[in-house]
Amino acid sequence: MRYLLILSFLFIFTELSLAQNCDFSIFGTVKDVTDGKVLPGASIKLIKENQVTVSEIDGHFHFYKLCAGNYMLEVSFVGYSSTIVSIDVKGKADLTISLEPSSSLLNTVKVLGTKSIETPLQSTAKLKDRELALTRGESLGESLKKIPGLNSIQTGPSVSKPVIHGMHSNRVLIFNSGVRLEGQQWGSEHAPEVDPFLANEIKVVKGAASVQYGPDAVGGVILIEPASLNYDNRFKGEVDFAAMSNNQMGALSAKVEGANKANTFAWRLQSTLKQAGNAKTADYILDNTAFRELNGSLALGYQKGHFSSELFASSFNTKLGIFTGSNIGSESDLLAAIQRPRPDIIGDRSYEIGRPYQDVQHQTIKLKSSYLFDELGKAVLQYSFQRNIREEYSLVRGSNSNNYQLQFELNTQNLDLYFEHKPFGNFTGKIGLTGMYQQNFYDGSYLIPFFDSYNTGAYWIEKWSKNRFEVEAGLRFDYKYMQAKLRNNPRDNNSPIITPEFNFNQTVGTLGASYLLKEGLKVHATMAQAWRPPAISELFIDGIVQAQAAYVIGDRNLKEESSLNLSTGISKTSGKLTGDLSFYYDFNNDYIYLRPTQEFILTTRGTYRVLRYVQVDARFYGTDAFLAYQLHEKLNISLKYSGVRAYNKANNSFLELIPADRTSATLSLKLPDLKLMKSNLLDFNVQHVAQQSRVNPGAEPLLPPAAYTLFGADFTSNVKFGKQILGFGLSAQNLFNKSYRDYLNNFRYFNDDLGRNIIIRLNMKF
Amino acid sequence: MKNKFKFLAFAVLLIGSISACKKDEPLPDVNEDELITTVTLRFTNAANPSDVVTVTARDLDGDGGNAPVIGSIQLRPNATYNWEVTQILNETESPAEDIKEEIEEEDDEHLLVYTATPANLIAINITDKDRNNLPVGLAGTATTTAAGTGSLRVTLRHQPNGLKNGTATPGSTDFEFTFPLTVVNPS
Repeated sequence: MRYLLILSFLFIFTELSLAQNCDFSIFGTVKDVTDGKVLPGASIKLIKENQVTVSEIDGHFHFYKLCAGNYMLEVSFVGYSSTIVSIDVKGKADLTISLEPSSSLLNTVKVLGTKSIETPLQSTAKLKDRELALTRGESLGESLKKIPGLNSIQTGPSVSKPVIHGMHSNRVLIFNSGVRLEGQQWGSEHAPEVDPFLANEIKVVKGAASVQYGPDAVGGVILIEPASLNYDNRFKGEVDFAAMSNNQMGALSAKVEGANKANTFAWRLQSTLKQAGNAKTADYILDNTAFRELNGSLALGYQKGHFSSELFASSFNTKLGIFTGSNIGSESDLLAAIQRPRPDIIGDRSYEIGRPYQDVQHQTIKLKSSYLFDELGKAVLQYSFQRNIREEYSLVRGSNSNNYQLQFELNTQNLDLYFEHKPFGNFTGKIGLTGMYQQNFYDGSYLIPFFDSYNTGAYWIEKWSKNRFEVEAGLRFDYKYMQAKLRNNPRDNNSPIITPEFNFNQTVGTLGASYLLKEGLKVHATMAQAWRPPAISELFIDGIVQAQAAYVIGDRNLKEESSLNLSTGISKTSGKLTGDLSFYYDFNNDYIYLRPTQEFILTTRGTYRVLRYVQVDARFYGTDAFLAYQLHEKLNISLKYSGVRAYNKANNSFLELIPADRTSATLSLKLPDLKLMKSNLLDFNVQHVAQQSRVNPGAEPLLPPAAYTLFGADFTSNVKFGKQILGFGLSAQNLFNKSYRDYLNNFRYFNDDLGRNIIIRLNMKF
Repeated sequence: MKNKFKFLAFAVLLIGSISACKKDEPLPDVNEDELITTVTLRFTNAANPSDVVTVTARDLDGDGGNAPVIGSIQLRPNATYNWEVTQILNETESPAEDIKEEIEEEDDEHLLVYTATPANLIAINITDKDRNNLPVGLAGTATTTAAGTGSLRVTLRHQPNGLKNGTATPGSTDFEFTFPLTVVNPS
């Protein structure tokens, strides 16, 4: 407690000193506390300034051009417990920081917590601190668009799903608080069931990563990580509020936490409430796009001696309207909708949700326990149970209006056991076993069958670090058994029940290396494999998919999809110029893909185009770039670019729904402190999205929408409010209220994308 | 060490208890809420009430599966007929669900649209009106002129939320059948 008090005092102190001389430096050396050996490659971070450097071969590090004041340094290194050092900078400060191997000291772990999953060596990105704060109130898909290489696939304004390097849904894994999220991922209109307010940090692994995370991590992995539980016996809390002008949304999220006096038991309670009305484009309101969300979570932790255990339970509940103008029948309806310059039904300002809508609930319970063996390392056992219930209500005649048209229930249990061994020579590593059992049920119309599935896997990953080198290698085997249950003709009650069985398995590997060229400048290259078994919908779907205005047919003979991802990159974390540049190439064999055909099927609702799931050899490649330059002490400029190309190797045709090139620039200005407003930061941003020109003629009913450029601004400040410091944010998106449509929005055929949105955010800690 | 075993025992117990709730649910009955399997039209010669032509389109297995079975319409040239949609059913339910009744109840949200190919083969005139005095299309008159062959497409448009304006454009299609149509003197 006293520690935290000092910390906040120091923050204030540092702010006061901004106008002073800024030509000081911090020097230091990082050493192993037990044998005094220097530690090259340790990461040293100025917490508040968010500057990071890495210790050199002799364990030495430095920060230059610092103003006088107090700085907090967080020093971390693989296999060692992180430590925080506070230092007063008046002239040149030379430090020796000693780190303790992580298995021998529990107290430090207690303060900082342990990372639930360590990210692999390949390209990763994080949303945290101010950047994360500036996404509060937005959906996960929208929040992640700030990261180069990420996009979102949308079904109107209320449904948004993350896209990594052009891949989404079954190819992107989401871990929520360390639990692999299991919902009906196969649908592009099924948004992930997570509450981003839960996160203290969102990490993204770009590219294949099945060795670390299991099957389906083909495009990448998203890790939503709450802060570690705090065992220091202090009751505290945080309230976040966000209000948006566009859809008149209000979001309120609060959390409280505490611990017992003996510091053995800690708890946290968190809840989020969101309510949004109909969204607005530049010119009109989108009817029935309101939504609401109510989430809550509870975490309980116990730790004593070498044992620690954590129980986490969460509940996510949402009801979201689907734009009425998207309700179409046959292909001729779709073509008619495309012809209209604006939808035939225009909404008004309302929070009412009518048909069509979705009602989704997701419950999670997790129990994670670990035991630290002094000589060996740490053993972790985690069990989780998830229940996902999705109900979809269509626009129907009166007699059917009391019930849903589709309901899915998916129950998932996971058991993970892994062991992180103590550094052995230059090696650190992890070996583990996983198991998963799932049951799926449906009610209402048939779209996908019942199924039971069993997955099991085993993996081993080792990291070797010496001087400036880091090498990572791993191997994993997974096996999946699935049995479906359905009628031979799913739409005939008298058809016999069949129970087809499936077996899938694959062994994958990963190999990566990084090299520290000089302080803060690192290069890396990785080779990683991933695979996924075909999703249930890809095997069994047989029916009209309204969103596509097409008849979609699955294929029960699909086999595993496998991918090899090669990536290389360079990152610079210190100095005036910082940045991150990466290139990737994916060999995606047996890529499962919904291919338009020349077949038509005659139904009672007219003629539909047939789309079939097929497997092709696909290739994806692209680049993500981020560059920031400090023009002046108070002025920063940054540029982001991402581009991805994807094609079918067999005939060199393009793949559909690949994000267009996206470029953005931000100018950040530090404004002087006022009496009641400190740390004032003002950003202007501009974003240009090109037209996707890489499409096959005639494959889609409409050419991709035109390129567009949007402007925005963000202002953040710490406002003194009595004794409290209030985090304040004011943002504008689509500042000039431009009309545009985006290629990755499923509703681009029906309506424009969102118009201007002004957002106010408040954050208060107590 | 003791704690660890306690924990393991607890975890195993928890898994066991949740797995024990394993459901072995039966498959739900086939339930295609909005399905229309059967549409029957009846044409009665205005000049000769005993000259009646009845035609049915039927697709019992709904979307996909077998293609619909659609009857042919044969009418006399230069004649006027009174026509009526006699049944709109979902025959996958037992007893069959009467959709015509539902359309009559929600006549302000539905419109049946008739499209002849070639356009001059038959002139369809809708005589029934909904509560807003807009056409519904369950009954009307039809006039033929010269002999010829072609088709008559019948489309049911669902136009809820005040979308209905008397034209085919708004809303979505609930059924669409194309009947072969021959206008010829009986031999």
